[in-house]
Amino acid sequence: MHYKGVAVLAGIALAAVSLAGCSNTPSGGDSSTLKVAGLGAGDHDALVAVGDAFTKETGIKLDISEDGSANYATTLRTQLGAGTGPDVFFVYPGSGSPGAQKTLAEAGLLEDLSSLGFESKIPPAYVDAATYDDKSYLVPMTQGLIGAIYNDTAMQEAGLTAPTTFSEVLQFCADAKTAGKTAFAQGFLDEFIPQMIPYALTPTLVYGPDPDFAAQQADGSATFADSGWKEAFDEYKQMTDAGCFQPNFQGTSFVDSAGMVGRGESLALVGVNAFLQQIQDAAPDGTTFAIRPLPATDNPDDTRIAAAFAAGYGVNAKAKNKDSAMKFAEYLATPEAQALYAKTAAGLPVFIPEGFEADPVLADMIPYLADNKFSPYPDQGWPNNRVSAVHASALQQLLSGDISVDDALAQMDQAYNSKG
Amino acid sequence: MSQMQERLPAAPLQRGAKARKSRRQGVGAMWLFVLPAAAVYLFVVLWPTLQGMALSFTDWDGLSAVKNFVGFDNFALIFADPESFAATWRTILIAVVITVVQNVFGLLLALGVNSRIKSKYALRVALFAPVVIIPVATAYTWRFILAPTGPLNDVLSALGVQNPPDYLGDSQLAIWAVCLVMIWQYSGYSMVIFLAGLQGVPEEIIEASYLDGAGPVRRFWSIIRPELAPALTINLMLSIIGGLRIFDQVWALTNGGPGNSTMTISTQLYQAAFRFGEFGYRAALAVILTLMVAVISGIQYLALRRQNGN
Repeated sequence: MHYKGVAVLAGIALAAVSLAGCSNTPSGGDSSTLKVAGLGAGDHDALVAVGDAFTKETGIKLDISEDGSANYATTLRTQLGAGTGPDVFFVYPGSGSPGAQKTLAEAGLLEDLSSLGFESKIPPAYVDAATYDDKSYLVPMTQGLIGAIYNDTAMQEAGLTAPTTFSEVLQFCADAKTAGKTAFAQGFLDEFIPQMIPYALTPTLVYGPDPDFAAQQADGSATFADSGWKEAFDEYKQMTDAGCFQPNFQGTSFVDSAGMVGRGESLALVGVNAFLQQIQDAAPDGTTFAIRPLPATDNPDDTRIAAAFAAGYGVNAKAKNKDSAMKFAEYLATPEAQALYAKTAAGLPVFIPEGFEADPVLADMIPYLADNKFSPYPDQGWPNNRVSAVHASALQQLLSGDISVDDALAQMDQAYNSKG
Repeated sequence: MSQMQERLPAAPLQRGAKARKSRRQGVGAMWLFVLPAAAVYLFVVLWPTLQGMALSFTDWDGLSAVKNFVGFDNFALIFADPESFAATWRTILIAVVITVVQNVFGLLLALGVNSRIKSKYALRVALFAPVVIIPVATAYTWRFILAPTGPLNDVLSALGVQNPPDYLGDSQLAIWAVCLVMIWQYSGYSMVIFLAGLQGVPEEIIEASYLDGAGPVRRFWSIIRPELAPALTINLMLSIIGGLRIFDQVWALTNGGPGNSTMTISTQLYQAAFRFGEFGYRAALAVILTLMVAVISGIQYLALRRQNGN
């Protein structure tokens, strides 16, 4: 008896463990509830607002999770690889991130959404980042803009105005110091921050004057080292040397830097418009903000901005609730959902509905979109994820004085040409 | 009688056979009891480990179904990459610093709370408390403390220090900040193991040393230290292995930065796998890390055993 009993128990345990180990289906929960994953801050609030409207209209419940950390893409990638991913999730456009459309679609992890019929409405400038292999794998939601986010209340108190040329930027830094403030608070401790200033400068210095630069880089006829990127890095160094940033900016986190701008200790922060909410959270009531371009030359007419299709949602190819997931994806592309999402996230929808009024904070940036004076974020065209990681670490070393501009650009070229 | 004679030797034989059978059954039953745990270990530890090792010979990206056999290419790439050597050197540096400092602090704390002070139980709990905090939570707390505008620099500024350091943003300081956090968290762990060793030192020998006029240093060196050898062996093994595997604290504190200055083998491994989609390369790094831990801890164990034997 003993043998048989113990053997049966052991067999059951073995089978249970084996089956648990082999399990490869999306994790449980109520089967009628759609699991949706998104970013934190503004995008999360926007997703919740749109999700509530969707639930009201269809009765389909949403379980929305947020990850505001820099690890969203890696976490998502791990979940999808393990078969435990959400039904619908935030997908980065283009190819420069582990959670980007190209990476995930190539691996067969995204459902083809071409049948939903929004493809023809995607603005031409965003088609490359919004499609893969001539198919749509994500619903574009908002356009992101990179610029300097100014605390206008603090600017008025300091008696300063936003610079319109690069020389004025350096003067602005000196004037801010005189007024007892820091011009720009940049939280270098978080890896996504160091890249913001080059992203803001290169549309003017690289991608505007040479619209084919990304293509030339892809065919090997152009490099970072022999391009306007060198000037962008030089200017970044000049800004550092001019004391444009807060003391010890290398060890400051993004949250701390956003707080400095919100409280008016710093006058501005260079970043994407989605950062605004975090800054506003730290600001006293009545504080006003505006996003403006960061000039890179001494001719204001040269100035361009970085604008890109910044937020989109894809459907898990192995979604447990595929029908509901597709319904939600279809809903996201509707004018009502687009307007609600953009309004909540203080952004601009990709499919701009008629009568849409943009957040006044973006007023100074809209003309650049209207006049086609913008270029997509550079990383959306990079061939692998290594370039953006190396970009961030090279900038940390450059601004610490550990390496030269040439060394930093050589590292980026090497990463661009690596297979990974 | 003849029957008896025939039977007499048979009785012990029967008993011996029964005993052997019983022993065999006992051993068999023991194995059956071990089976569920062994099955868990097999599927949760051994099988994934072997799978991971197999992946080190492929170019798998972590997502697609395609895995091409690439031989030792991943290992060749690692040995050709200067950043891998730099990360290995940093990992060893962190492991050595943590091992030495954590154990010195652990021993001092153990000696302190093994004395006759009234609050020794409360102190033991307080000093062990950091060990039970999740490493990531510890790291984020320290990230706040060590921020340029954090409490530590606030204190320094209040004391009149003009330009307080940038602990996490300075590429020369960041690695020491990581060590500090590790040592703060795990000194209590070393303390508990040393404390167990200290409580095994016979009280009468200590008393005899008092009578013989031994001072505290002589008493520690000649009586307490030899008794602590097993505790020291365990502590050194655990702290060197913990130091070589360090990941959570580094990733939460600095993300391996600034400019790779705190990148260790584990953080490089994580980055290769989950950011760059180079699972094959990552698996090769993991194999190297495993071998490194095994060799270093093996050498250390043999050296300490020889020393303890002497």
